[in-house]
Amino acid sequence: MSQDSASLRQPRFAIGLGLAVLLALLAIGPLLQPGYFWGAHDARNSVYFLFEFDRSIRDGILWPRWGPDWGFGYGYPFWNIYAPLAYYVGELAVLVGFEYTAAVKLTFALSILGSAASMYLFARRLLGRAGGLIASLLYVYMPYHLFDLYVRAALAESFAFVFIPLVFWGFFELVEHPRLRALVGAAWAYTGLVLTSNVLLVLITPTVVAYILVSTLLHTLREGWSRRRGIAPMFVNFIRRAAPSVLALLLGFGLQAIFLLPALAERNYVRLDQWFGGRYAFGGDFVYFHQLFSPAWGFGASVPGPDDQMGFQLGLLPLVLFCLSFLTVARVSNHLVRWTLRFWQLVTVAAIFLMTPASLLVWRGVPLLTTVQFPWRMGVLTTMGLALLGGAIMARRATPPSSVQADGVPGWAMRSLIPLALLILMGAYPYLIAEVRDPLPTEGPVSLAALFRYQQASDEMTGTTAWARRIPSWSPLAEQVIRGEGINTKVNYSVIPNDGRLGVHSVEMSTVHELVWVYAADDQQSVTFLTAYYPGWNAYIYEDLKYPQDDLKARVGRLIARAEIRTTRDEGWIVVRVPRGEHFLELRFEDTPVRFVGKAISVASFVVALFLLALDPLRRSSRNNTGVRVG
Amino acid sequence: MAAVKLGISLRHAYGRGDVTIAALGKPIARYRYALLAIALTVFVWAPLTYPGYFQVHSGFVPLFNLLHLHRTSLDPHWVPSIATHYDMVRGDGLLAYYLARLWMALGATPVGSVKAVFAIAWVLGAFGVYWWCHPLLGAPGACLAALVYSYLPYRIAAVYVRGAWGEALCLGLVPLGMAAVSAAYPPTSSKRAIMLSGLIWLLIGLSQPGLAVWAFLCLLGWWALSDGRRSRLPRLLAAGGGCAGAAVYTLWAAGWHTVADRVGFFGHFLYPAQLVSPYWGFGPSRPGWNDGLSLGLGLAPVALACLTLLLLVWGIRTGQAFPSSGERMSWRSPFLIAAILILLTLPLSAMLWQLSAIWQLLTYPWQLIGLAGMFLSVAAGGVLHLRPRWRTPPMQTVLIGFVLLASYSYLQPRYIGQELPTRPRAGWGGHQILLLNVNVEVEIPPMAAGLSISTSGRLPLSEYGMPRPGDTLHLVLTWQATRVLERDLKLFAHLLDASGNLLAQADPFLGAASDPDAPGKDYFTSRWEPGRLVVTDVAIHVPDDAPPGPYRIALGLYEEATMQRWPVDDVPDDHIILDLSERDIL
Repeated sequence: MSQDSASLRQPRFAIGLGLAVLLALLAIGPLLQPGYFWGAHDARNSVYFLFEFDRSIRDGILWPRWGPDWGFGYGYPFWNIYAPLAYYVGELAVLVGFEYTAAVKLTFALSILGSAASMYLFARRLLGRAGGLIASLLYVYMPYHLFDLYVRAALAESFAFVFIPLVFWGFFELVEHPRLRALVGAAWAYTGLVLTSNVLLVLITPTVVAYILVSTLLHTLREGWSRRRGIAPMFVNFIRRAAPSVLALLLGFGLQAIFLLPALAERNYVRLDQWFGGRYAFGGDFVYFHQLFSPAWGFGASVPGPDDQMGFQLGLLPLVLFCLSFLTVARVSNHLVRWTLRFWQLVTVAAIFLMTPASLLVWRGVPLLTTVQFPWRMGVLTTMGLALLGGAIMARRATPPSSVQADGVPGWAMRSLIPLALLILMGAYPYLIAEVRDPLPTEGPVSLAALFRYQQASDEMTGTTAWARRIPSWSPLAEQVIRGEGINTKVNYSVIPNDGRLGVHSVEMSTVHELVWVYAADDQQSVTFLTAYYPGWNAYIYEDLKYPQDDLKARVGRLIARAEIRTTRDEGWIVVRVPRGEHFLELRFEDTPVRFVGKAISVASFVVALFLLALDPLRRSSRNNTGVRVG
Repeated sequence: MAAVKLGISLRHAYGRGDVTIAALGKPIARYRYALLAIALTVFVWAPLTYPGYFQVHSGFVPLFNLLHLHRTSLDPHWVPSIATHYDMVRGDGLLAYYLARLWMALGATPVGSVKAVFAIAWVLGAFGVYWWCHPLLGAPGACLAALVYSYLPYRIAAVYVRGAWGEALCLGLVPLGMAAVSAAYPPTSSKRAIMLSGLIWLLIGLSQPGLAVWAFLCLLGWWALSDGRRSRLPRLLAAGGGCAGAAVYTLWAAGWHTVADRVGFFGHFLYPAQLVSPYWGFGPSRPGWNDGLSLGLGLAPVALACLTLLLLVWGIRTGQAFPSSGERMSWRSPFLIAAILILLTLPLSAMLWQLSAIWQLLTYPWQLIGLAGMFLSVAAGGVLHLRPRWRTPPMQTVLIGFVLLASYSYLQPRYIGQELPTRPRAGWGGHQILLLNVNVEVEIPPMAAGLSISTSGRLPLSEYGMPRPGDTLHLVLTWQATRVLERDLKLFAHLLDASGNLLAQADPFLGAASDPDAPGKDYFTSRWEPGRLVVTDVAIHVPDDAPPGPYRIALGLYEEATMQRWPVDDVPDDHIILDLSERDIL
């Protein structure tokens, strides 16, 4: 049995983990206020994204891709390009009975506790219990983390904080001691991260790859030099050592394929200027040097120039600890741990540089960075780095040569643990504020009508597909809902001629399909749906059985043909040509081949992961029987 | 051969995984605490990197005079004269201007040069305290002392509230001066040490002469209470010579310039509560207890100094005493000197000040807080020296973090983002109140046609052209007080025709509806904070039957009670004239 798993079973492990989670409870304080922080930047988005997600789930769609009410009811493939995992968590709360705002707050709370736990587990692996506790505290109370929680109310990014330490923990294990559990764990952690925030995919993946390359290379070189090996054997050893990490990445990509493959392959079918242009272009959101150190805090907007109305500080104590880490990291005897910490020193410095205007050329030269949208998003990396390096203050000079820090906490560490923890809490205390207020009429209470008012007032959730030349600013569907009527059909009756050549009657509708009965006097008739076209929308013509007369749905007969879909010129609405006579027309949002392949890959990867997990204890058991040390 | 050795050591080092340390190795490890002390001052000077300036009591006076110095050829007799009266004893010394001028010669902007002087003061102060305290307190203690000194609330206020750059520079140099006299040198370096002491104290004397004298008195006290007086005597004398040299130079360069006691020195003693108050503000010092700025010693210096005292007392009682009486005496020095300086800021010392006449060296008695804070910082650093168990990295982090956190919230200056004027438009009352900027706008009536309006119903005069009868003019005036104004002043704006006849006038209270914090509310001059920018908007309607232009506006200030106009500085008149026929009236 490995020392690590033995230590995991010890009561002291549970105490340390429990303490890390307990101390994170203070960060939840603002969420316990009655009401919701409607004024936070993405607070309304968080609620209405969950509202839309819930609509799809209640329609029986377990992996939603289409958001039916985006764009004033015209719909948008939001969940096809935006990672949904955080909203699954929120949805669980909604299904249990929480209202939307409470469910969002609960998700935030779980993200805080989860991130405390995950950072404790990773940092404890490197630095021992005391170091793990300090790193966990710093991670939760880092200004950027609190900024994501209470100033931005960025649900996805806040939830992603849970997975970042787990990702790096997994790959650390794969470099230090490759085994199947670690491979599957790393793959799952990486999948969790990507399925929570695809923006962080752009930030974290290169960092992970760099970490794998650097640590594997250094490990290989160290072994090679100490054993005086040649270049070729060292190269083979490098490949051998890197293989588990690469396999973990591949397995992760496989598990994510259900989301990632369509998101990448079909991203150009939405108007990307709404995601990366205008106020989402990176040029005006650099952080000035003084802002990195300023105690200023606010809930206003990020504006071009140095006078932002919100805080971008890195954190006083984290920076003090970062400076001290250049002294303390050298004390760590385990070389891989030491390299890992040095790697994070480098990443932190690089991330800080990329936040500042001095890095403009880099942003212009690396197009992928534009998907990050705002330079201050590098705070995700600085949060991770500063927290981990802060925990290194507890690293002691004499450590055993084994890869796991001794579980006992030395006396000097215990004496300073409490005052240091108190100081961290004290430093973060002024920032534990959320601007709770009543919703404006354009924000809530949460309902479809409020959603449309919100879209109109804020120009948020008005995404359109690439077939639309004009971004809508209102719609007849929204008008209907505001008047108190529901949306029972998306057929555009306003373009149906009055001369009786075309008759349409909606039979049933859900978030991703509508069945209509249609009469066409000739073959020149078309039915227009107030739905934005996107790949996956298909139209089918069915025979009208004519019986029973009083139940239209029961009269749907065999499939006659798959109808051709066109779009309107400016709005990109779906237009379906119908044949002469009486038929049923069904418009349905289905998987495209890319989505189907993505699903299949994910299922296969899931099976492989389960298989590997099942294999791991068998392998360890067989090694035990042969007397070889395991773990 | 050296390269081979370096390569071998690198390879060995790499084998241990310490490439960086091996390469840069010993110097960094040896001076790590000094580097740490300097690096951690970043929070306190980071606000200086804001791309603009900040609102401080001294306003833009340093900038105006720096630009003036820049424009003059290297004149050793130059003194600051724009919007200020030079006081060779109590005012900003010449060194700050010379340093800033040097920065400008290297390509820095005027604003950047002024801010660079502040930054240099901070870094030098941290380094100086470290150098001075290292023999006494060891590296960790010296590092802590350096940080306590850097984050003194008084020093932060001196920069970000008062803009007292001469005083800030002086406080930055004094620890260097203390170190230069106090440090132990090998006998072979004694001549260099003497010269260094003289030079540093010459610079201190040039930075803020009055405060430099007090710093020298503190040095005398420190010397008197420490060991090795004899060996340090030459350096002490050199320091005194340096101070005297500074006085001689200033006298030669600037002549005898002093300003009478404008603020009432004896009305500005501190009350004990103020010394420990966490209050932070941007207002002026007022007679009595209700000062508008922070004059406290700071939580961290006081708390840590008390802790050191407790450790000393406990050490003596438990017999863990000090190896020699010499060390015991040196521990007394910072506490004794700090206590004396603090007492001198309190009202009970008024008699002493009056009898000694030494009050004429300073503008306010509380200017000694900076020096008191320096000695408290030394005492604070003693915590790590007396308690070796606390020298672990985590405990050092706790102490350093406590020091920085105690002052962190003070590091938010009132920034100014807009372009700064190169000199004031005019001044009144001996530069008490400055008119920095004048913009004239013409109100566009709603019925106007054929004009492209980009503003809310107004056009700048430069775009509108000559005003005509029937137009309503808006004078947008930017003001700045350099001192507390004791009364509410009124502004008169007289519209004159080409012959000088009065056509229309406006006589509002200056600051009406101009509160920077509450737009629309009044902010009369008696409430003005020195350094705060106040923008007033005065409307004057050109009568419909007025003769055609060109027009002029006579602008001035007066007191309503006496109807007495304030004279305009440096001109023999009581008003300024704005000629509206010029496109650029600035």
